Amino acid sequence: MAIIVNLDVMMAKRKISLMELANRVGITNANLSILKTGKAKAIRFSTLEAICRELDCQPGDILEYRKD
Amino acid sequence: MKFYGKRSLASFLKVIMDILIIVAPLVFIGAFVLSITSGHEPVLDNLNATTVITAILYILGGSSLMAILINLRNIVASLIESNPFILKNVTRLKNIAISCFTITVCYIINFFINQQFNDFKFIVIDAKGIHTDIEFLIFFFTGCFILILSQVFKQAIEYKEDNDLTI
Repeated sequence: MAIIVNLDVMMAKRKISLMELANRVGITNANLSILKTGKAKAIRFSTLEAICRELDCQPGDILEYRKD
Repeated sequence: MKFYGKRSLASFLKVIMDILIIVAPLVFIGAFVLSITSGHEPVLDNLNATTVITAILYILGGSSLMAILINLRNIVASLIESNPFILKNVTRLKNIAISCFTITVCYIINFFINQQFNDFKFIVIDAKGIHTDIEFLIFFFTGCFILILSQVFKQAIEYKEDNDLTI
């Protein structure tokens, strides 16, 4: 897929685990894992907003466009 | 009234279908044996190409009917589990459509080889009730509709997968 999710990089920078971030954002571990591994087909703005709030970052820090 | 899930109309329908799946083959075999050995004109006494083809059509039609019952029962079972939007149900619906078309073809071949042209009646109302010879049309249009439904199901599964993978 052309959109790369760099969630693991940001999580490592902020030293936060998957479970803790999932709890803070309000989604399940499984769903956050789907997002982290790039298997998600779409992300809601509300979820993106919550992730950026908890990781104190911009959407561009988590999402990257790479040409195929 | 609960239509699907545990203890719903779907559960009741599954029980009926389970009974039909057991009873239908017995009726099918019983009728076949009776027709070839006894009755007004036992088939064994009048064996020729037409009767052999009619017997094949009967077996083909009966098998298609069983296929419809079994596939429908499995679709209803998925409804009880509240998980109807699966690819297996798309395949089952396609199989039901193919079975309907097979029965339609059996009706048409039977109509021609047994020369039922003179007796064909679109719809007749008499002292004994309402009669029709257009069952083949019913099976044909049902097959068409179920084939369309299988594609609608396939689209629904794609939407569901998109929704499941939207975080």
